[in-house]
Amino acid sequence: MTRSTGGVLIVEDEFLIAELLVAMVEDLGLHVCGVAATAAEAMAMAVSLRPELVTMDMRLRGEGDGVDAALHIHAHVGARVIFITGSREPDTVARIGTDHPAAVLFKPITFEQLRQVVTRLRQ
Amino acid sequence: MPAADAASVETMAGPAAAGAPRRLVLALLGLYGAAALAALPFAARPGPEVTAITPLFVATVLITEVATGFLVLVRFEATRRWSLLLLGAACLFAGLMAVLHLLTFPGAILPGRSMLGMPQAAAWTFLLWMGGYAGLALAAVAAAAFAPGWRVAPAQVRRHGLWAVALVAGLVLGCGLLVTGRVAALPPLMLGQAWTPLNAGMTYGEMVAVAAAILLSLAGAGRRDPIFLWLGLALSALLVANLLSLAGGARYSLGWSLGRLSWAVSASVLFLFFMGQFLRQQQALARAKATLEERVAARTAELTQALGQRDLLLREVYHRVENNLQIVDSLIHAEARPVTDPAALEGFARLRQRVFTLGQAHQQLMRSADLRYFDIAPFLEELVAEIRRAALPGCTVEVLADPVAVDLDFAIPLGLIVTELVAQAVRQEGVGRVAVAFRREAGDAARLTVSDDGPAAPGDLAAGNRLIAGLTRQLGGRIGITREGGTRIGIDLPIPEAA
Repeated sequence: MTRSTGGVLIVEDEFLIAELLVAMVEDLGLHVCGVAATAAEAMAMAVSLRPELVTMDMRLRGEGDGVDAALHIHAHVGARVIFITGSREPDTVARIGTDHPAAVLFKPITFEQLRQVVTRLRQ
Repeated sequence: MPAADAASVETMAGPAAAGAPRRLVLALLGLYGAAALAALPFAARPGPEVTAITPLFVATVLITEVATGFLVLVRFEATRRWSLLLLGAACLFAGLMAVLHLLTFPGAILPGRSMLGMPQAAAWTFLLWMGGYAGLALAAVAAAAFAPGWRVAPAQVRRHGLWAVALVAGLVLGCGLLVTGRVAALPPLMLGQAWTPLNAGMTYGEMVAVAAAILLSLAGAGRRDPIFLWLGLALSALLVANLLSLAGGARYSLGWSLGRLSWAVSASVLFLFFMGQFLRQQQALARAKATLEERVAARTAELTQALGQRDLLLREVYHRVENNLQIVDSLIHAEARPVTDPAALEGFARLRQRVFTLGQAHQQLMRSADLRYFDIAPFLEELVAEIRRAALPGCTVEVLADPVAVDLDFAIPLGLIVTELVAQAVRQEGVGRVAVAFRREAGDAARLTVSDDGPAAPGDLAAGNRLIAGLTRQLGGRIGITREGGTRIGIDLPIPEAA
């Protein structure tokens, strides 16, 4: 397992869900390099921490959503972005699709879903 | 629709509508009278002997009067007023008598002589024509002025209309027989090209009747219904026709020719009135249609917007449901972290699986077009896929589901049952294959089967599970278990009808 690029950035504005994601990622044997709650925070942290993977909530507090943050991170950092969204409605899914996401998971997510996605992305 | 439109659509009745036309009719009357007075001094001059004037005059009167008579009778059917029945009869009489005039007037068709009857026939026809029309018109105007509420009973309307047409036809036929067969018995009306005193006297009498009808039209009847106002103008033109004819004194005098012209004008007045009505009604109809279309479009836009708002709100709610379920899952996870007891951990895992089932149902709902019904097949596939991910290696789980539209009330209990049964099956020792099937049966029924190839389980799995038993009862289903080379649990369920 390589951790050369600095682990996983969690982007989630709900504390409890962020905690769960941190635990899941750690249970996968990965290192969580940071937790961001807004799009601006996510972009800044991604640039400074240069994570290998990002879990991205679609709806975030403040200005901008997960797609805005992901597009920026994709362009400036190149990290793989896993979208985690509560909305499976066609409009949201289409908007996520504009970013060519590495993976999309729908809430509530399970450990097994995350494990499969992470395993596939890190191969 | 604005009030003005409503008034004009509802066939030109009512005193409110009579103000403007009244001024117009009186102005036209003034002009017509002035023109007639100006022509009067020249009436006696002999004019050119244009024989074609009679067929032209007859054709105009025949067409316009018969058409007007028909239109008046249509209005009679709508209003049931005796005044309109009499007026319709007057118009029809005037139109049909024109034919008799054509047949009896010398030179109208054949050069120098008439088609039918003796030399006196033409004069008698003219007198009967004028007299019948004046009499019927005076009766109509008198009825409108003095008995405006006099109506025919609704059931009698059609019969009265037909009787009026038949009587007029009979009257015209009678006049025809009289002037052709019996004219020799009648006193002479013409001496050469000049009128006898009898002719002049009867003509004066008819003119007095016409004048009385004009006064009643303009003073009384026309205030209630504009059609009588215009009839006043028509009768005035007829009066002018007779005055000019009288002043002319003989056939083909200038006054006589202008008189025929004035009669043709008289016959056309009511027809033009109806054309004006038709025009206004068509315009009102077009406006009403445009207004209606506008309203329909506006209402449709409103409803579409309201529907969009509803969808937006529902999606927002479902989104929050998903987020909250994720939070519940996070709380359970946090609670389970320090636990080491395997039985307790398994309990937490089961709990999280059930939360996942609820979340999955809402996800399927959010993808559906109407936000109410969704297909059960992908839902069951997703549930089983999640259990498959957690299953021991070497155990396969398959699912075969018919597409059935269901709502949350059906999907959530069914999803929990499937999750429970499959989770139990894969947890058993020695199970290598689990198959889930949801098949649509005859009628509104379905059968869920969960079977495995494991050794017969000790005890009754489904019956021992309160959750499965309770949810099956909630769905109105029945559980059956067979054991033949594994365990096979079947649940028969009624499918609620999708709206």
